[in-house]
Amino acid sequence: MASGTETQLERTLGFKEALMIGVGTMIGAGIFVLPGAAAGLAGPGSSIAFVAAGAIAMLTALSASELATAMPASGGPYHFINKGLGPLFGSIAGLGNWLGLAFATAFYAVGFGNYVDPLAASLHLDLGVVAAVPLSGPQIGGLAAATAFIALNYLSTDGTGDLQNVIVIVLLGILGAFIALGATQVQLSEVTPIFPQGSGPGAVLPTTALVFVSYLGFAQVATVAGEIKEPGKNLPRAMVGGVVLVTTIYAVSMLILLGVVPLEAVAGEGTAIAIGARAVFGGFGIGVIGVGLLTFGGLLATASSANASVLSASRINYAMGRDGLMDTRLSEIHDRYNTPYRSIVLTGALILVFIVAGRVNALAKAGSVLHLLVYGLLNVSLIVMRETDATGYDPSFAVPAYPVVPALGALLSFALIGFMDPQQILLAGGLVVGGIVWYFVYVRKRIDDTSALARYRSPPAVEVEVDVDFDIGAGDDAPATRGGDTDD
Amino acid sequence: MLDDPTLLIPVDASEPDDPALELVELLRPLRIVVLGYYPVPDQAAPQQLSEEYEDEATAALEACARRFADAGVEVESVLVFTRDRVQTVDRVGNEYGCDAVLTTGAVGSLNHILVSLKDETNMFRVLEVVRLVMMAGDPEVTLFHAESVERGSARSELYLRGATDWLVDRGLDRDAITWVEPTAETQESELRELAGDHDFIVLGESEPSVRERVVGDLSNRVHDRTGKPVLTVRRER
Repeated sequence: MASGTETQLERTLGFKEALMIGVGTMIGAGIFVLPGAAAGLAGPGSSIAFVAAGAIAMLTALSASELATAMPASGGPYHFINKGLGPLFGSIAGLGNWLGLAFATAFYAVGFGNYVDPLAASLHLDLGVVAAVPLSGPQIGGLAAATAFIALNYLSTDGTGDLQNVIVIVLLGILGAFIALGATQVQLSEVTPIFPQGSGPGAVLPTTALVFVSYLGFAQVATVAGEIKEPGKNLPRAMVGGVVLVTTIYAVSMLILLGVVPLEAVAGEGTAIAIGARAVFGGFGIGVIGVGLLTFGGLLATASSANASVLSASRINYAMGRDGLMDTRLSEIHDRYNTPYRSIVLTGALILVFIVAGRVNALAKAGSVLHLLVYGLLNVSLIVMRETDATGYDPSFAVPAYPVVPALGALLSFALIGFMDPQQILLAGGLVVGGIVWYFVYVRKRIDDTSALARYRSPPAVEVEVDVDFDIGAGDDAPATRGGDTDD
Repeated sequence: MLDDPTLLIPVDASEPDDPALELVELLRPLRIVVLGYYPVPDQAAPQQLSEEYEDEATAALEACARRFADAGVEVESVLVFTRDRVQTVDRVGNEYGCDAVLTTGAVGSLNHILVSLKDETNMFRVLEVVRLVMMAGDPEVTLFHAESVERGSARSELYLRGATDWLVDRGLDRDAITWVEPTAETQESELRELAGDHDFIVLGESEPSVRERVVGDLSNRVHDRTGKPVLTVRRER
């Protein structure tokens, strides 16, 4: 008889797909939106800032790889922190991760608007709204783009994964052409001195703080850990490989950009890379094609980053609901489209508000600051997992050079927050307070703390073999992981 | 060759639709694996959908499996939440050692069967299935083979004549077997047009081309276009 139907969750992502998710999310911002602002701060020295930001991201990517192979469930960084440090830190991390993604999406959307704006202007597409509302062209473009992504995700889009792969390959091709052609025309005199007048090595860290937003995508790979084939092997490779690839592209492109055009021409420009393309491709008599390609790339890259971030944000709502840190009604699935529509709408509304309220650099830093907070906690969570010998913690990938990597990762992530503007530091502080309040008002009375830290501090009175299943995703008939068995 | 034929029947567990029993009758004795695939959009975690719909989908799947069991067939059922149906069908097919995949569709009678002999490595397995089907019922079979334009039609004709002899040697009625006269212009796409005039299509699994990876494999295209049931005979694993 047909009793006992087996239920399985298909793992559909191989190494290539996982890498594409990470690279596709990351490659948008750094090179298509921020070079102008970064060049304005530190000149050619901003390459160093890109490398520094990449190095900090790398430390956390290594830690996240270990955590994700030990507990490959939906939710990513938030999930690791909640399991390691408990619901208080889980609340902070969950809210931080979610809002951080909303800020980052708003930033990508305005970046998209930066590329739409000159196009609209060149086509004389003055819709009459520009004069009527107190918003800039890029903001209007960003609002339109964000609304489109939210609608698409509400209705569910099949096959965006395949599209993502194509987009990333096209982008790598465009940037490869830019780098290859540009390398033949770099004027050494343009990139020396490394730091222009009025800035010095001291400008590197504030620039690092600004460009860190370029690397947020690597953690997206961790949020889909449960869907990756052979996660022990593919997950670390995809995350670390993605960060290395993107860091290299960013740093080299930055040097080439500033090697071919004078600093003054690009500093502070929203589409600096397209300006660089005019010079690079112009050297071969195809300047217009170059501008067209890089503009096309800018639109693709910012769109794919924004779309990927909207997707991740709803995963965090779901994971928090699953763990009792948020109302599950928020992550309810749509009857017809099978999408977490409420979560998408709420996140979308926040994104639209942020686009209207914030300037592009402020949005970038707001996104970064909240993620840095989460990344710092993530590294701490790894140390706690290891030091408390957490039950059931059995990662198939181990961070190299423990405890140096996670300790440095935590330290540098928190330290980089110090180089943000007061406004964003205040935001980070506000979020911590908000998370604590949320915990005491909503979370504490609803759930027991069964994290590794709580178990360590007050071990079960009677020694019992507790089967803790961190990998919720793979557990079909998993015995419950929740409290009850130990907390008396 | 096919001692204990195992048939994989994928059904969409989100919109369960009872597969036709007639087809199963044709292929007895056999073992059936009913695969309920539940499509997961990019926006949701597979885990979330399984929490939400596992019970409902399992009940629907088991109701479907029970119909086969009641007809006296050995049935197993498996429910998979997946973003990639093709991958899931392939993986479950391997895991359960399935010889063929049945994409179900509307069936009235099963009098006219179309057989595509594209895949050389798999040819005898396809013919073996055709033999079983012809033994069970009394259908008319149309054989089809298309070569590329450059290669001409000679090989096609030899394949078709050979296949007919193979079946007749095994005791089947030569009058029940016809084949489409191949010409240099015979194209693979004609299969889809022919499918419209038949009740049931049997074809061999083939390596998907790049185009097929994008637009879906042949069996699905034939099925989507005609709504007819398609039996895809898998390679020996």
